[in-house]
Amino acid sequence: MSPMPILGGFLAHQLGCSTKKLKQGNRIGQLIALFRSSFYVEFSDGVCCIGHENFNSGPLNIITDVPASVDWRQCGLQPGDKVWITKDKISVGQSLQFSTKNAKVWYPPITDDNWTFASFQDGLDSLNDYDRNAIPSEGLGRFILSDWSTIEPHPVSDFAEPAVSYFRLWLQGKFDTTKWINCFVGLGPGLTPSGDDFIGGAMITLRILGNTNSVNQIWDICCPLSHALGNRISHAHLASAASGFGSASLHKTINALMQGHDVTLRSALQDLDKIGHTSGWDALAGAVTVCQAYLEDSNLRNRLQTAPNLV
Amino acid sequence: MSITVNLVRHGFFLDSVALMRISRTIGELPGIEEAALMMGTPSNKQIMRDANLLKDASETAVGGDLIVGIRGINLEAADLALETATDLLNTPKHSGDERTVWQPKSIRAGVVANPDRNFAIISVPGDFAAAEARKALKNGLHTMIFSDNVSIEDEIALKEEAKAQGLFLMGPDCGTAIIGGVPLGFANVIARGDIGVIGASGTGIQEVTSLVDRAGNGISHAIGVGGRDLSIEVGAITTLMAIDAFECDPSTRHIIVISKPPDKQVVSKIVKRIATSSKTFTLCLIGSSRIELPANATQVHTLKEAASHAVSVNTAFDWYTQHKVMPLPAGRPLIRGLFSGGTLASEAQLVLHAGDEKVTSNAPLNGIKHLSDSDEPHHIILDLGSDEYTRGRPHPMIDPSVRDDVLIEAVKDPSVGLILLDLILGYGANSNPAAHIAQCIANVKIDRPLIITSVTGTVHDPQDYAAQIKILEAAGAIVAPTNADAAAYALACLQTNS
Repeated sequence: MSPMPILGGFLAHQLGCSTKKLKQGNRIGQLIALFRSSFYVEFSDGVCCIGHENFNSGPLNIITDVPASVDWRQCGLQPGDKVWITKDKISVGQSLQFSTKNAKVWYPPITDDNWTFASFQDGLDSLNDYDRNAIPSEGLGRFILSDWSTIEPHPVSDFAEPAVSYFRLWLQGKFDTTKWINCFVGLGPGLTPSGDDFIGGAMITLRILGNTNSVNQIWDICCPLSHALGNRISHAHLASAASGFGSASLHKTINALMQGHDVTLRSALQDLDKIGHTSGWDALAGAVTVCQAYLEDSNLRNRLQTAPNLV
Repeated sequence: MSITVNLVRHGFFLDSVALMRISRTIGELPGIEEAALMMGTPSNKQIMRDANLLKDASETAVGGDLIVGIRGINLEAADLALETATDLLNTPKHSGDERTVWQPKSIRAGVVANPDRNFAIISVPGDFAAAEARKALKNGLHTMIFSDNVSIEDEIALKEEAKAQGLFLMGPDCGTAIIGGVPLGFANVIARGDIGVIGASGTGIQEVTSLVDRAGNGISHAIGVGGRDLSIEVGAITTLMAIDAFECDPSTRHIIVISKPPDKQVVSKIVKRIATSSKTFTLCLIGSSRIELPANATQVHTLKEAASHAVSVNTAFDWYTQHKVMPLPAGRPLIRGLFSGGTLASEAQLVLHAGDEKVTSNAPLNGIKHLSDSDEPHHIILDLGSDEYTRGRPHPMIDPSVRDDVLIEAVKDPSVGLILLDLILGYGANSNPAAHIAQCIANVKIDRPLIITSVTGTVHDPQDYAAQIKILEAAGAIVAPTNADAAAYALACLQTNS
């Protein structure tokens, strides 16, 4: 007999690349956070997020065939429910099963390598022209603009402002210490604090630009800090970002930014806006800060590499 | 003078949209100067400290903790806002969920919370079931393993461990049991009585206990032992323990043992034990050849015979002999059996095979060909509860739509003249399985196969036994009182043609 009573046996269509190890099976986990359209599961060596049929593609995300109309909170699930992972199945509590047998593993798209410094600058200019009312004042979204003073300040961005400047200087080799990282880790409200999203966006962009040395330096400091001070979910997102993996919409935005494609960028920003309240914008702020640092500094620019293959 | 109040929720996650919404709602309450809900990271605590929203007592909060910080013009306003924040935080957690009772998340926690409990049901994926069962036994609990895919080595070790402690280890793959009148897993609402039942897995116990109930009798207990208990490797550990238990149980007069054919050595062990018992026995070993039994035991071949022998009402279930036999539609010579119960599928095979019909199955009895080994047209009996049909899907007893596609296909198959079905009621089963069958056959009214079915259940089952039969009959199905009758009637219809 299968575990009972099964309310639903569903299919998992897609596993984010950071969750592909689940296909090895033999893990016991626990439901740690439950929302209307998704829920997070922590297992012995990671975290995954299980969502509806139209859930965003992302490194931790598992997309299922459960209709978007289903509210997970009303499926008898509760934080603390046990989760069993076998080679071809994820069983959540006593009520849900997801077959992972035919699930495909999702990787972020590889960034087009036909960008130039000019296209890069065009992208940043397009971003500066973007509707400022669409950028949330909470979080760190204001740092995507060259002149961020035009967006209403918020305690979180006020707190981070010096650190953003120090980060840019550090990338350009003009500032030695890495204490600015401490300020970002765990900064802001929510599941993935704005500061963590910012660092994540920055690490993904640095990976795309081939600067793995800087990513490693950031992650060496950030990893234990986030582990000790932050929450498990955000730590898992940061760990994926350190490997160069972020949400599909963030990768699409960074690609459009580098290509200087105004129309694509606007469409990507609309997708990015759907990630949490400020998360997408916070991650983009980290990405843009990296881009600005490169474009301002010829030495750094000269060290640019083409995008490494992530897969 | 401003007053700051805090609330810290440990290990509490909410998305930022929800936190912002609650922050704003609280911030707009009368008498509130400022409010923030943030995770307790050093950076966030610094921001809250700067805004005079953090009290010393909350400094210990860490990254996985949610801090609610509220600054009001007086204590009354701040406290009221904190109460509102608490309600808002609780709202999504309990949305649509009436359960407010704490539920243990581990066997240990369950035992600590309820030290008087002595029984555990393990229903987790097979890879993890043995470990959980071990924990249950270590905590002194009788254990029923509902899960399948437990290795035979683990089964033997667990049963030996249980036996040494004087505990029952029922299963693995034990779908049904009724202990002290409490139905466990898939079970029907059965009257209490003096018949004890020992069965391998699920639907065999359900059919026999339902027939006993419908004949006006009842059962003391029904003990599930798992499909491999009578194998040579396991050696009937739980079956023998169950016989011992019934022997000591003054409320049990007669014992029914239901199983597929056991190993010969194991049979002799059971027969030896029966010979020393003070109780009487009915042995229903479906598909087994004749066994020499002591005087206090009788061998029967079908579940119907097991029930009628135990209640001593031999005419209670006679039906097909009185029912007008109908020929199969012209040019449609084959029977297709689509069963959700494995033992019911076996019983149907047995009846057809005994009538000299050529039968194949995905779960064949001894002497019957496997579906994949047959290249000529045969009657086909499918156990739709077997792994190939249920992998990644619910069991057809829970979700009858698993049977829909194969039923529709069979109705349309020009070679199929008779479809044999089961329908199982009781706890755990679908709330209206008859409607599914009716829906599948409703669209084909002319030149369709005969539909013969039986309903396993009692009038006390939650699905309304009589109403289920009415739905089936209204859809044109012939409803037999037992699965054996349905199969025998199908055989009679088939042989009328020839």
